[in-house]
Amino acid sequence: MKLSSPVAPHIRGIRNNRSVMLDMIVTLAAVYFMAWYYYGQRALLLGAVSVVTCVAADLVCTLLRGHRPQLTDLSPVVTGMLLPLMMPASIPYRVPVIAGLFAICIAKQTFGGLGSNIFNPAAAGVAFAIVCWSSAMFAYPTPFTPLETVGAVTAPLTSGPAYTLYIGGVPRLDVSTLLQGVISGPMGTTNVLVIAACGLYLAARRTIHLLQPLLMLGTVALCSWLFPRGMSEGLTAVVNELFFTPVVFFGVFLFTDPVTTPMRSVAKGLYAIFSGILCVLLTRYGGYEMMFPFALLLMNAFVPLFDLAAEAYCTRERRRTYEKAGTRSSDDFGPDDDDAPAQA
Amino acid sequence: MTTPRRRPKGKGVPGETAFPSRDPHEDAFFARSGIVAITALAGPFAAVGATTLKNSAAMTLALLMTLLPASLLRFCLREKADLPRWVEVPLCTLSSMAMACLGAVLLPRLFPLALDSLGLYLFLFASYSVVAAVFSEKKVRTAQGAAGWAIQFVLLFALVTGMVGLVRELLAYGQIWGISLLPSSFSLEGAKMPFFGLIVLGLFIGLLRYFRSLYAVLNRHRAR
Repeated sequence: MKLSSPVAPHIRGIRNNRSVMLDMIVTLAAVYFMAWYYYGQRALLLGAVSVVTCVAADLVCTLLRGHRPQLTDLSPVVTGMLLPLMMPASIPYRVPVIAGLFAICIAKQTFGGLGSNIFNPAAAGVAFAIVCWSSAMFAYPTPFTPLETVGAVTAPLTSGPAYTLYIGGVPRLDVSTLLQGVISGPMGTTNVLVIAACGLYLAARRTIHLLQPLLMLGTVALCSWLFPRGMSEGLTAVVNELFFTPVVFFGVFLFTDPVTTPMRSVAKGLYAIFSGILCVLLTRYGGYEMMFPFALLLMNAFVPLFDLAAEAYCTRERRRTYEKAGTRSSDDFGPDDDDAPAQA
Repeated sequence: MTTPRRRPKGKGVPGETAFPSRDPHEDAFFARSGIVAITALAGPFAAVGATTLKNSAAMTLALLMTLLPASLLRFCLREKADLPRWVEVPLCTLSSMAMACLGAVLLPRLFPLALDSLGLYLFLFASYSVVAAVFSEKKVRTAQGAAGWAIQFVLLFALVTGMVGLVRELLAYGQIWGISLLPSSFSLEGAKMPFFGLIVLGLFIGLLRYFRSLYAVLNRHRAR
């Protein structure tokens, strides 16, 4: 029976850029709720300032490039929401503003805007903020400490368990603290269970490929188990790596960016594995306690290679399949032949 | 047997379609002076050396000291002396190195701190000058032409590195030429790093291309 409708009935709704970004905004809103719960209104205001900056910068750059602004394009909103979540709640307001300007104007618009950027803008913005303000980026307030909504924060700031891991120590925290995410760290990355739930929601909505974060986090977990940091070992090392560092946040929200990741599933899987390995290497031998943005930017640079390799592999496999079936000779098919008959 | 017709220079063979129209950017003012090539060659110096305006001025002076004699020497060797072409490179290199050594002695009197941050880059200017002078396609027939070309090159280099140095000094230190313009609490550590210099250089090249295309469009309107 030949299906006349091009849209398969099991896919509900039309997936487009707006729906993908809306899904991301919904999940990030949940993360912001937790950040507000721990750090108060300052967390929300940081997010609002960052979003306004990114949207305004995107609008101005689009006009400068001579294009019509797309009001339904929510990608700068997502970038603006992501940036402060990877920073402490005590960060001065100018930091997410400048990071947002760098993310949109340099990392996104100079490469051609939405869909053409090579590097993840949020990761580029955070990396820039780390390079420029490393001391402010790694000094965190304790959750539930009252913070000033505007102006400088006078609450005492401490280093987080990620720093303890970085210098080779072992953070000692009880399981309930671990699961609730009540630890000093970037304001959106400590509550791993909420982030994992967001990842499942995004996967159910087909916004992200579930295998991608699973492979990436699985690789990080395996490497942590085989090569633990500091004095921890076995499952403790894995738990420390996944709960005390922002790797889960990066794996769910940033490493799955559809624009800067490979296109084919095979390439996505390889990309995820190599990303996990690079994250582990950089966290052990890098210069900062949070090296994930740098790992992501490095991997973004190699995405075309993954696409090329996957395309060559898929073409070879398809050719082999048809040769075995004996329906056509191998010379009839090339990488762009979309009219090939279904497998026998 | 008749000899084949010589194809006139700049014109196609009769019967063929006309050559494709020239890129309008080529007619713009900046194209003839090779500023885009200069910005590309200035890349490493803009990225690493041009962290302040004073550094840029020191680099410009160093380039002038090495390039001007190299350009004049090249002119003399090509047009006046009856020496083989391969002699140009070693002689120009010797001249540039000698001037670089002189610059290492004279420049600290003008820019004491700039020379410390430039370090090895000062002597890289010697090789830079050789590349620019010996391998340049620019044809000069007079000594004044050779000197004029070198000075034009140095001025454009000054423009490029000056722009980069100005932006980086303002963002990294809140100063221009040592004069504070922004609050002391404002400083971008990232602006001191080489990657930021390359970003500023890239933005500057983009701006130049924009003005070149604008100039070409205006020229075309005027021609009509």
